[in-house]
Amino acid sequence: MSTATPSLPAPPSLSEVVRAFCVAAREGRVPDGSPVRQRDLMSLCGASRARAQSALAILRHQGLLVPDFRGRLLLRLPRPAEVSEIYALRIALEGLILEVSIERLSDADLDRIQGVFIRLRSAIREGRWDADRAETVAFNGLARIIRWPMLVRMASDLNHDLSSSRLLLGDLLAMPSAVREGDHTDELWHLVRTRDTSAVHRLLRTHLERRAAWVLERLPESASD
Amino acid sequence: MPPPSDAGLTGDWLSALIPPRRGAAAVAWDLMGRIRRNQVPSGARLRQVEITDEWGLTAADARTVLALLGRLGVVRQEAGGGAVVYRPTTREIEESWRVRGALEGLAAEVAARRIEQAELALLEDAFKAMRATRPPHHLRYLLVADPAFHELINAASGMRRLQALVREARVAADICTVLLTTDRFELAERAWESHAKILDALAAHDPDAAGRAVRAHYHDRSEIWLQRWDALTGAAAKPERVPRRAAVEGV
Repeated sequence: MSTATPSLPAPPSLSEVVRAFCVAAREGRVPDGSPVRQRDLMSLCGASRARAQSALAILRHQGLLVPDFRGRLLLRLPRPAEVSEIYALRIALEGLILEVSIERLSDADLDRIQGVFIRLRSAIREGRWDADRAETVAFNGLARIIRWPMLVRMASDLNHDLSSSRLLLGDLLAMPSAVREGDHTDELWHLVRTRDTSAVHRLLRTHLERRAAWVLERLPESASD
Repeated sequence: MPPPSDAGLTGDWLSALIPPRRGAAAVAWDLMGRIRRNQVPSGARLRQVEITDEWGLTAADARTVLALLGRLGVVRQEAGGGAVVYRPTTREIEESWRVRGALEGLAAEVAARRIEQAELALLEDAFKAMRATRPPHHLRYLLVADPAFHELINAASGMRRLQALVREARVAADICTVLLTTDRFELAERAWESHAKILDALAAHDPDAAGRAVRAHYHDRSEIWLQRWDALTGAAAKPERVPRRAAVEGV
């Protein structure tokens, strides 16, 4: 005769711990500026000590938790003004990357880059990458080809600075296609191929301004400037 | 990397570099000429003892020489002590000008929407100070008066991250202008004209015109300085820089 052992619920995975914290932060259950400890994450979703520790490290790396002078980690929600500024800077710097690419890359170079764009777009459609991150990787690739290291670093830093918004809003994967506009990549790429600099700037601006508006609408109200 | 310490520099250190230069300032100017002509290459270590031996200066004066070169950006302090020459490449200079144009064009657009009367008054004062800068104060124009005008516009945008990026972006362009600066002052009239356009657009609260004016200003400046730099480094024979096909107007 065998006795059935009652199965225990599986402990939450690392991504589930991070997600549970982000939901709590979005809903205001964790106030902006409040300290976040290992035990808070453990009690929030029943995470183990080790997993809570790893989740704290991720949240800190992505900029959602910042240390104070006493070494505590505090929740810092992304400020709307900061997010607006980052998107405006992206329009300026990514526009410059495309402008310089139009000026100096050959048609063969553009063919090679197009292959990378196609793979990135598949990754976005399949939900493996969010659109912001994939596009920034693509732009970094272009900036490396034109060999302007400072521009590459600045573009990478801006991408990293959007990490906390991405994480908080569920990696932006829920962004509707009308905002994500997977097809804008095709149009943008067509304009790069025809070397139409002004049209490239206009399209990039329209697209990123729409995306910024989508993010800003969803930031928690407590993230005041 | 931080610049060498300001050992021996007085508050108005730029005045020491106005001709006739004497002592440490004359040696600093001489060394800057050698760096400009690539007789002292980028990455070369400048030792205090070599400066004292070659020019017969005291150790304190040699430190002042390094501090002056550090303020001009052509010498950087290394982690373990010692000073190393930094002479930007053509590519770094072009990148520097273009990134500044993109960032400061954005700053001007934003500033035009929100600039207040008091900020405009400061900008007008900075413009007047630029116009009042006369030969032989060309370094003061390049290192103080002109940056002050542009920093006021960037500050008026209220974009703090942008201001930090501009500080990083401007390094190579600044060193290029300093290294190419002779005792002439030929750029002034042209720069005043484009600065006046920027000021007018900001006063009219016209974001498009302000952004265009700033981008055109940097486009213009970069073309002039890069031509000179190419001539100095002989890059025309082996182009490191690709000529632009598109104009920035209308972007």
